[in-house]
Amino acid sequence: MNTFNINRVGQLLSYDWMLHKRTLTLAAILIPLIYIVIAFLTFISNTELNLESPNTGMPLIMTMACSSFFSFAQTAGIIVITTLLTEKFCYPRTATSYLTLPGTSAEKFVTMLAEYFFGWVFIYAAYIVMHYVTMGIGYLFAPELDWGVNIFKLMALAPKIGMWDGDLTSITQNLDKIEGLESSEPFVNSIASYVRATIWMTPFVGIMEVAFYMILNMLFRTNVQIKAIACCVILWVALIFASIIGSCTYFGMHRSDEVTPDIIMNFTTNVVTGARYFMYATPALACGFLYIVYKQVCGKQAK
Amino acid sequence: MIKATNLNYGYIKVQPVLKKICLDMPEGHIYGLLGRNGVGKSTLLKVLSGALLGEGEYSVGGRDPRNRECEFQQSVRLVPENEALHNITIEELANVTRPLYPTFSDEILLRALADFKVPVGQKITNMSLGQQKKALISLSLACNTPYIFMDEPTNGMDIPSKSIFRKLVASMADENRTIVISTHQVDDLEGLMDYVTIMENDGILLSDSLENIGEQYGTEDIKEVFCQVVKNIE
Repeated sequence: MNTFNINRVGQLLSYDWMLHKRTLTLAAILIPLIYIVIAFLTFISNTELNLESPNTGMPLIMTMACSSFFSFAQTAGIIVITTLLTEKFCYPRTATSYLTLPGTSAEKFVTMLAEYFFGWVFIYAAYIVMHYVTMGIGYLFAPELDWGVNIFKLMALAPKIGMWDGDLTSITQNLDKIEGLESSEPFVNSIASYVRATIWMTPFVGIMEVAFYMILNMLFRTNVQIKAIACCVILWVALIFASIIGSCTYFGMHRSDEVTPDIIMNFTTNVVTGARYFMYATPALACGFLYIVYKQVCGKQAK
Repeated sequence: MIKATNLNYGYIKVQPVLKKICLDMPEGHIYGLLGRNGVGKSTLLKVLSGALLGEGEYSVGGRDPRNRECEFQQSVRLVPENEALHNITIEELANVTRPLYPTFSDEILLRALADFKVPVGQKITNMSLGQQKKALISLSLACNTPYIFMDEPTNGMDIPSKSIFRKLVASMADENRTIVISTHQVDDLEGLMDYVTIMENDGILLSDSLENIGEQYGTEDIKEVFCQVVKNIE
């Protein structure tokens, strides 16, 4: 009987953790470090921008940098998980070990989902903590500025004011639209408004990601490395394009009071905007893909 | 009991590695799986352990390996020729492997590690090839499963370690356990195996007890029998 046993999921999780704790710990250290670097590079470079209202603009730009970092962290999360999955299934040695390990396919699938979930929780936690640490450091260097800009409030407002392309110059152009944003808002309220603004997108992205793992799960029953790589690439591309189309449609709807041909007319502009937003993730995706290919080559040689 | 009827497998569909394999291996024996390079010995062990999915009828202990049932996986332990190595100690690996196998025996593990003189506190990736082999074989034996499949287990081992290996495997043998060892080093299994299976590209050439082989070929020297069997088909 292929009965599902939650204890075995725990055992598989501890097995995976023991085997991959170095990779995961390294990722846990690197992701916040990269965050700090991105935030402070932005902090330094913003002095080159001719801001109309530096008091509002500088912390805001830092906050936008956090937002850009978040897209990076999402990509990094996908890469880490995909690397672990690839390691489990695509190298002859590790695939043989993992596939013959006691545990049904369903248990192994749930194990992967749990790893993915905890990975996300970590990324979110690191994101929130490091955002406020960065703002705190910013306050130490320039206490005269208002460092209380709430990232969740900004993220909830961003789609409505068309700033999600992450283009720093657009912030300066839109400063008048977000007057009052510099004032801090209670943390819980801003999270609630953020969730309200993005809740529709979460299941959409979630479905795409679950589909990603489901297809990989189907590869439980194969051992063809190329299929796994192709699957990763196709799903990455599909995820990007679907997200672009989805977010652009969303932006279009929020820019109009009702669905009109104007939305369609704006579509091309929105696609360009969306593509620019995803430009931030592209180098990370490319690096991830190259890394997997590199590991594949090593795996084949080792065979 | 390991049974197979017309078992086929190919990494690429058009190039089958295993063709019409028919096996009938009663339990309670140590089998030597012999064959020339590339005839599919390792592949056969992977198929029987469920890592690869073959075509045709086959079962191990009455279960179809393709279903990858947990009970099946708990009853089979494969020791691949090249096992995945991790940057942890054998003790740490044992700690996370133990809960997955209800039959896991710390007694066997400690005995095997002590006999092989494996440095327990050293990370597996830092060990020599021979030490790695011995550490991972010790762990696999400790899983204490009714079916143990080993692919070239003595590769990289020194002569004293091969002798210890033979003693350890012999001590594991009982009427409920089936051990299949694929090897080119027939001498390493001398006095250990009691059944011999010789594979060729087109299937199983010979699968019988040493006793019957002795009667049939007039010798129990496996190398000689192997040469005769292979020569007959050339």
